Amino acid sequence: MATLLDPASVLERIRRDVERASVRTRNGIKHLAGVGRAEVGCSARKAVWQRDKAVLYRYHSTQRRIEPPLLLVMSLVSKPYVLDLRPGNSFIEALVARGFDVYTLDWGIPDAVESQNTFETYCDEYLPQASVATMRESASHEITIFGYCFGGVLSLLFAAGHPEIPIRSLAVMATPIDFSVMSHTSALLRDGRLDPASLLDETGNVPARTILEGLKTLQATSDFTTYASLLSNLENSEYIAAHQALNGWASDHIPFPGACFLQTAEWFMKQNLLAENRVVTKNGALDIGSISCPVLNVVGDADHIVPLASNRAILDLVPHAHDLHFKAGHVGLIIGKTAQRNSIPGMADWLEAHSVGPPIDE
Amino acid sequence: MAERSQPTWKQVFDSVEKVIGPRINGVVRSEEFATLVALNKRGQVELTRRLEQLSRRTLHVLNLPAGSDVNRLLTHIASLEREVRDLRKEISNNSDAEFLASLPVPKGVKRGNSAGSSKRPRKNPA
Repeated sequence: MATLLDPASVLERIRRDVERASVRTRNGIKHLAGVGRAEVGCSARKAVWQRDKAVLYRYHSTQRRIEPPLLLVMSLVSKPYVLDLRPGNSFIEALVARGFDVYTLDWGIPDAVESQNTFETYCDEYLPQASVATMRESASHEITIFGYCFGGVLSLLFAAGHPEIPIRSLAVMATPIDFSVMSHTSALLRDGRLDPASLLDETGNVPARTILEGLKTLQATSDFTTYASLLSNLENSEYIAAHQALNGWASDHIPFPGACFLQTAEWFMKQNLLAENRVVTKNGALDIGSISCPVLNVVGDADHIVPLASNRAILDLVPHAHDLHFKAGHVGLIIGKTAQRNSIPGMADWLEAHSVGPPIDE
Repeated sequence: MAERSQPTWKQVFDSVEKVIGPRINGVVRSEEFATLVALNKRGQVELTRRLEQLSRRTLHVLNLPAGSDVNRLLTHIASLEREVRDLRKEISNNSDAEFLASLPVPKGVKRGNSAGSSKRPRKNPA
């Protein structure tokens, strides 16, 4: 028997559908036009030190209680605002709320001047200087270092080469160690099928678009799935804001300083020196195994940029490293609900357990 | 509250992607694709080099500066700026060394590197 349609409910349904369609259209137009983009990197901070383009920021807090200060070291190819993406979804915000005295080192956007920057520039100049500036600013005798992605590589080389810097503990997250199991781009450079110098532009750096193209080949269909999800969530303003913030960052790379890239290609991709603990810089040989402070290694099982296999070698290099695994991707370790629930508290617990000190005044 | 179900087109997209996605990713990660990328890059570099050569010659015939001339100037300026930076670094390094020398070393605290010396204990490269 056919059911009679109630005109009121039909009208209500039509009204809802029209309303939804208009919200979707409005949000779609706003997104395409780039209007009302989600703000990123909102936590209050001030620049406390600068050397060339590298700027050290200290995050404002009225609840600092954990010493020593925590210096976050970012990769050379991406911007550090991913660490402070959006209010409520920010690694830095969570650390500050926990009572850490948080600093970030922003490398800036390299141009022709930075094209000659090498590992020595970052690990023997900027990082030691920024560490001293951090300790001075916080009036602390020690420092905790936290490296993200390639920033983890820099942090390890820095810690191994600078015993004079009093590092209380060292954490590395999503850090590649064994480059022989990285993407096919690594294989091309390793086999000599691709000349690393051919990737440099007129400024002497690897352009940001080349880095982005390389990363996109790691998950060829990711753009389609991302945009399909966006399209199906167009009426959800919160989803759009989160999408804009994260996808905006993921395509907002910075050039890789040329000289450092050539070193990376030769040392790590061709010779795999980091995994074999045979890195020799201009200042001498480095022994990663000599790092004796507590070390935390954080990895995401679903990381497609730095595969788990690439990271495992750290356990041979630094046998006393504490290993934290999470079911997350490269960015999912610090962004999203899982990060807020699992990985960030897990990391903060370890960092706090390996810190000391009385409350610190603002 | 129950989650809103996915629209039909999204469900179709997801099931298609589930089948096709791994295959496309497999192709992109294959050795053949890598070789293609390498060849493409070489071709691009060669083409750019020839175009740059041609435009430079043309512009120089007309007594006009070419992009490569501007790049050369840029390189010179960058190198000068690096020299200024080196001078600035020498000053700040002294002040940092003084600060580090003034720090107390608590007993039993393990620091960044087991060498535990303020001097760089690196081995000499072979």
